[in-house]
Amino acid sequence: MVRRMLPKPTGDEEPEIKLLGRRVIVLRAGTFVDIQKSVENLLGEEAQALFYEAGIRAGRGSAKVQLEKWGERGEDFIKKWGKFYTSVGWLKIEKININKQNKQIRIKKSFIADEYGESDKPVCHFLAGFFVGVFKEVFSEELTCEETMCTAKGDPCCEFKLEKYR
Amino acid sequence: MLNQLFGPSIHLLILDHFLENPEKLMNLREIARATEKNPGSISRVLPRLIKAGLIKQIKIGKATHIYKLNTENEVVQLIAEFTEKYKNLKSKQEKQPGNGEENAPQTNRR
Repeated sequence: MVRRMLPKPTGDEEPEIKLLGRRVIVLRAGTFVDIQKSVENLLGEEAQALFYEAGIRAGRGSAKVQLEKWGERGEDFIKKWGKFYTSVGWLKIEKININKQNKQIRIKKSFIADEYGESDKPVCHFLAGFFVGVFKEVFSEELTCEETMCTAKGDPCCEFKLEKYR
Repeated sequence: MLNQLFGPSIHLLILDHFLENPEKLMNLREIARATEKNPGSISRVLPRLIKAGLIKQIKIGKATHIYKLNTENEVVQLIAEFTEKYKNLKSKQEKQPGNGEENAPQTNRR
């Protein structure tokens, strides 16, 4: 999909790449992590909440576009959604459990954890918020998410537990 | 108050809410509702306020906690005194003719 999105540059093209009709950019994963680390240096723990809140907003925004463009809903949507984010290099879904009261997502190759380096705490706050935002749009559920395992911490995968709070 | 003066910051938003309700015991969801944030955001910043001794964490179940302003902490007492004096100053400034909104601190609540 990425190869299809990025034709061989000629130098004459407009500086715009569109995906699902919306402008997207190609950003080095390390650049995102540089931004996160810079904000963490400035704000400490506040940065975790900031990236989490930003993730909620981003997840809701993306899911709205995907729901508008794709025909799938519910579980079928989530399957397609997982494949989509694998194809654009964000993560690889290992396991996803959306049926229980407490939902769980396990991923590998988180672009944040992979680039972050070693950490004694989970680092994928943006993704945790992103899942909350997506589930809010897809299932109209008010959830909160904690990352219980993170590969940056040495865990075998990143695990996110989502639970209802309203 | 602190969030308006020094923020915007989720730490200050939480602290403000506890300062306005110094005797109230609150769980994570109640704090989230009052500050209009997701509980996940609150759980990410609350440990720092607890570690600093500003908020007390009280265990009420196997994995359930409630939280309260640590009114015995001298720093909390100083902050409470400051916010009270600041409120009085602000209301005095607002009552002065020609010293209305234009002199009020920027409000930037997140």
